[in-house]
Amino acid sequence: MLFVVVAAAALVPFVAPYDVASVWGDVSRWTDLPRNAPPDWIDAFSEQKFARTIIVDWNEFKGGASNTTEDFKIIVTRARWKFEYDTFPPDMRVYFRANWSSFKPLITITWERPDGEKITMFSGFPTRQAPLMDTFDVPADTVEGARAGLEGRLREWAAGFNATDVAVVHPHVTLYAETGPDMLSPARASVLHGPYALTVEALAFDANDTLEARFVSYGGVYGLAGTDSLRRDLLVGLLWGAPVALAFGAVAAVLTVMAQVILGALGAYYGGRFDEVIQRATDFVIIIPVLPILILIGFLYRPDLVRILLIIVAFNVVGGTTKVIRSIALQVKEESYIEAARAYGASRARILFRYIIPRTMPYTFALMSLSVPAFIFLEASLSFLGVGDPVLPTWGSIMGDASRGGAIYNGLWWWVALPASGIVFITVAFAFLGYAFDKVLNPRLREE
Amino acid sequence: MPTLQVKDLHLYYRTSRGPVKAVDGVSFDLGEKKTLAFVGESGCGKTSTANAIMRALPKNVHRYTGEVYLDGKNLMDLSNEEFRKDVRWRGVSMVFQGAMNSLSPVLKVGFQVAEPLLVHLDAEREEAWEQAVEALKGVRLPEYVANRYPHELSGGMKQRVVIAMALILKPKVVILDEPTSALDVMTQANIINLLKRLQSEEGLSYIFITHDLALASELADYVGIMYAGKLVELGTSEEIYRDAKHPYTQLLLKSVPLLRGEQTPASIPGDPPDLINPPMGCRFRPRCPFAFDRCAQEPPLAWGNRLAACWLLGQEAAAS
Repeated sequence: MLFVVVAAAALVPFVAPYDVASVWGDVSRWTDLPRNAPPDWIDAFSEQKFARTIIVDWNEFKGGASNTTEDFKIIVTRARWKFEYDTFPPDMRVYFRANWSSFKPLITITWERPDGEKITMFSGFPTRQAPLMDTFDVPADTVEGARAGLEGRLREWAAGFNATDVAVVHPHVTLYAETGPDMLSPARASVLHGPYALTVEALAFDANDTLEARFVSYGGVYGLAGTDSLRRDLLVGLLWGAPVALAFGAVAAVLTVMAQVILGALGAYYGGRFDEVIQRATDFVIIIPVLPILILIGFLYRPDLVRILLIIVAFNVVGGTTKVIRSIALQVKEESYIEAARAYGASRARILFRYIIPRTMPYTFALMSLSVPAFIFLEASLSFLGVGDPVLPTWGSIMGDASRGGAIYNGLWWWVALPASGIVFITVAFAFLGYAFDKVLNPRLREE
Repeated sequence: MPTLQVKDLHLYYRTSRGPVKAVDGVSFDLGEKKTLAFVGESGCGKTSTANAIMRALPKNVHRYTGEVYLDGKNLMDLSNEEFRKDVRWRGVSMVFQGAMNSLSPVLKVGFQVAEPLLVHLDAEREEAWEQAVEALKGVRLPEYVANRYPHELSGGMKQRVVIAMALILKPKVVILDEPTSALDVMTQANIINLLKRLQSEEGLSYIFITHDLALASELADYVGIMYAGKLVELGTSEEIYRDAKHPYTQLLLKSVPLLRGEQTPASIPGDPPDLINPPMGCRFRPRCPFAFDRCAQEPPLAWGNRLAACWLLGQEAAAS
């Protein structure tokens, strides 16, 4: 299990974007992904085939100018795609770029269906200045922030097929729906399979006027891990969460356990007032609630991951391990080989590091691997509460986003379940490792 | 000049009830290639004497005085650091009680034997390792033992390892604190023979601490009988075994069971005295069958050619 986690963590930099911190926070990087889409492997659990994202890029729109006269020209550009899925896409978006010199062109967007029906989605003059770069959003039905009137036209068109009228028209459903009485109802309408086309047309009044378009029909599912409400691919965040969690947990565990071991052994070895100070400090650290203090620090200073790590290590310089190691060291230091070492003139540091601390190593390793999950949990808790690293995606922060995004109430299970299972997986892996250490090093637990 | 000369050595431990007089005025000489055995019952100060010579002291030392000369140099004048550098293991080394536990379970035997070299001579690791292997050969252990961990060795082998470790810096004096107490008789005999051979090969002087009179007779040239922190009798093994003068020595010898012979071993009635508050005068007085008025005063150790702290010797001398 641990091997899987480590392998995943090692591979991540090759499969996912390297500068994930900047990519993750940049919303414009994720505009071609569907919003709140579950992972695409849910197909396997359903008889339906869920809609995938279809992108017809700028250069895939075919067409050109025609009917060029001295006064005007018509620019037509058309996208074609096949729609063979069983669910309607949640939304669609048409990008268009136009440039003109003297008069604004008349822009028309037409939807062509496999059954030969044609619907004008938008027709009008741009209100802004050239060069124009805009989008037409369905079902929002807006161009340049204004309503395009698609809903009304669809209602009118559907009436021709005796469609049962509904209060709110869902253009993304009706555009893909089979004609008939149910074509206006998202619950009952069925998908019309076949080749679709989208035509973007401009009636331009200058020979140099241009028009280009791009079309995205968003899928109902996306990728291996789905997307969040900002259309981000959760797989990227989840993959990056593995090395981050692993490195954070491992480094924190190694540093704190080493510090605690050395202090515990020092205290036991030197004894007296020094030991007393360490033990009382340990008691103090054990009883103070660290999490609220960390949250406070997080709110006040917004530390990044490395600083959080250092703060946590600073709070755990002494702790439970100090007590465990002290008790072992107290026992070990009375053994006669320590006396022998003193007699042949070994220095105190030599006795401590060569004789006492190696004896505590079995326990140290077990404690180390058992404390890794604790630190992973701690980091996840901080991120969940929004006081973790501000830019880096971690499993905790993804779950925090999900919680704030209302994922649970909206049934966006993948947004919560996948990072949570990541944490559980890595935690269990380390717990097993710890138990394995325990079994190897504690003869009473060994099965013969 | 004796190799090791100890004069009036005191080592008291501080406890909540008062100072424990573990070593109370012990004096002796030890010549080159000679063995002095300290014999006495548990808690009589044998090991404390050894620790006092090695300056391997616990924290609660109340009094630590006396003179210890090694080749004429008084070790008590040295600072701790000088003592650590020049005397520990190079002048006097020690085989600790319970050799089975005197090896760190996490270090290979070879490195462990080499440890004093690393500590004292700053030797290179490889060089130290080679010397350690040589030392192990010296105690008749096969070479592969160096690569083993202590738990892979038998008790006798461990004991040999500990002896190799004690000898690696070629000290003049080796203190053997019950080196064979946890071993079976065959192994004991082997170890004793080894110690004898090493003594003649390397020119060592031994201080041999044991409660086993028979074992002491095997190895010792001189035997010192200790009782309650004091040396009560000191003599050649011949003198002690044939003609013990101190009543305690006599009773101690009678307590040893013999394989043949009709004599049943006799025990000494009573308990050893409390070392915090020992009896006035002769410390054996409360248990001594020959005790008389004089014994309330402390008897001197030397009577003519014999060393035995008993007033009876004075009477004997007066009678003859």
